[in-house]
Amino acid sequence: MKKPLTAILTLLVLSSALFAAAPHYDKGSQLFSFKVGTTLPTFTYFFGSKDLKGGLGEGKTGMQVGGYGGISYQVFNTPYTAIGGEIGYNFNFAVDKELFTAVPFYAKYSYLPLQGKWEIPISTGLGFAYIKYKDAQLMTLYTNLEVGVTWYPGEHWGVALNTGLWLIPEFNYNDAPKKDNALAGFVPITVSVTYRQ
Amino acid sequence: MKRTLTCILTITTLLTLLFTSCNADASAGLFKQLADAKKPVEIRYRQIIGKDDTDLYFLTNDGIYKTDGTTIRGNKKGHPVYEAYIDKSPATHYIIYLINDGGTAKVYRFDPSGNPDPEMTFGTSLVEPKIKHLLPNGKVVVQGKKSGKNAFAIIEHNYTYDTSDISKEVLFEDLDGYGLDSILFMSGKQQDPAEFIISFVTSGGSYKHYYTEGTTAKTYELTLNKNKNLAGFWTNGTSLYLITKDGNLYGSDITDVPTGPTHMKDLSRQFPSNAFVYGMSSGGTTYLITKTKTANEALFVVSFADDTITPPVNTKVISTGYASQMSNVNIVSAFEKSAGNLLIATEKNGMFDITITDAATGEGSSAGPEDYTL
Repeated sequence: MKKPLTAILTLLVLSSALFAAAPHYDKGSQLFSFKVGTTLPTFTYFFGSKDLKGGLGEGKTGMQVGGYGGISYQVFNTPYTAIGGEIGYNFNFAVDKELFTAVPFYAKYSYLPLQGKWEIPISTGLGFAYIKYKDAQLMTLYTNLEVGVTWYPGEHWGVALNTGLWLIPEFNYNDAPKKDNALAGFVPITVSVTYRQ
Repeated sequence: MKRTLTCILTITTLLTLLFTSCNADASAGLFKQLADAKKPVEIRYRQIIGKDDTDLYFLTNDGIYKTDGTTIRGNKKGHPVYEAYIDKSPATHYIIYLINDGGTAKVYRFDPSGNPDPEMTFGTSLVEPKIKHLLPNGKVVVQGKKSGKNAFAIIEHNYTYDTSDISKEVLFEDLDGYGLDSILFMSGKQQDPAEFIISFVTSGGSYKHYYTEGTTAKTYELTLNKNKNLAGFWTNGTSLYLITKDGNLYGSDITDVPTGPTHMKDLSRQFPSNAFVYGMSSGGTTYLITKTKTANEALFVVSFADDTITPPVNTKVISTGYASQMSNVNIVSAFEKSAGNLLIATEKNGMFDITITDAATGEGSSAGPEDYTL
């Protein structure tokens, strides 16, 4: 698992060095994105029991492939980096047919080493997510790392394919659920439409 | 800019604390509940009706079935069967069922010949009677008027001849402002013509509970000093134990008139309506094996010395052995094959066959779902 991730990151860093010569953006340029796609519940790690449940379905994370939709806005603070935020809605049906939902809203920092007709945005996010499943609901922390490939056929509009990893911790302060504190990971696979100016 | 940032951070922190505190209501961790979630089976049980010499009869969301695969009565559109009873008194057993027909509950006797099922007519001393429930022991609860006041009656009926024995009618009178809250049977023994507790409640939350003794159908009013919403009970004929929805355990000696049960312990658990409460005694200790609202706790065992109604009371969560498949299920009905051997029907997860060897430790076995023997 670690090796492919390292290879991808190395490739991205090398490509950034290769293509970083001609920035398309100026400080103050903006990106608006609409994103839809699917999320794959990947693992849940329980801190108390040190139990790692990986994969979809019963006896694993208990969740199935879900869906995600979100909007984001970012403004460039340097020609290669942008800051902004994203809010979205995610759902996954559990194996018992009940719905797990997450509403992440977070600050986003992106680095675009390759710019122009083709772009490779690498983003990291940090914020909160409201999560709910049956009678359990809480506001918790949320963080992610995403990478995408965007194609701009024209000057302003582009389409992108994105993936990455979301991390959602669950910290309970009440005695009964405290022993179940956990960290859940999801892999999103999304397409987005971006307007840049 | 700094002030705006401070405002945003403060609001976000407050929102975080607000929603985090909401999770205090949850019985288990959110991701733990997800990881423990079980696939529903196709059968959605509502009630184990009873057993004849060879087969079990059960009610599902689709109708009444028998374990040999026979559909006794499939649900008709808009007229699902809500409650059913097997009358084993005649050689050819009758299946009796209740449906809602345009807002009116009606009870029918299933006719296997294919002729229309005859509707049962119940005799009662109440005026303007309306059927409310068909109990799993065959008795029928009706609501009406007695001396101009709201009243309820429990009627014993002969389904062969469609006649009611008014002399055996149990009346609950002078109940203006009260509606029916619950009718509780002992888990595993709903099908027997046994003890039950009927509770009435006002819109303001005042309760009246009546314990009806099994043999002579004598009825006693129970007065609980607090927490009056009952979830389940168990009796061995000498002592009566009650558990409220908010987890308080009461005990009462029923060799005399059991009017004021004694508070024994706050169990620190929430219980659903008609909670699973199965009692058994071993080595001088009584065990109440229960299912709480804590979803990922399998079974919750309450224990105390036989026939005592005072502390100490011990509690323990059992997750292995006979309880190994009882987490994240909603028990709707149970059938006691023999002492310690139970069929447990769940709402979405099928039927389990459990054998309790040692209630205290979890020793025993659990088969299923849908892998049970009769």
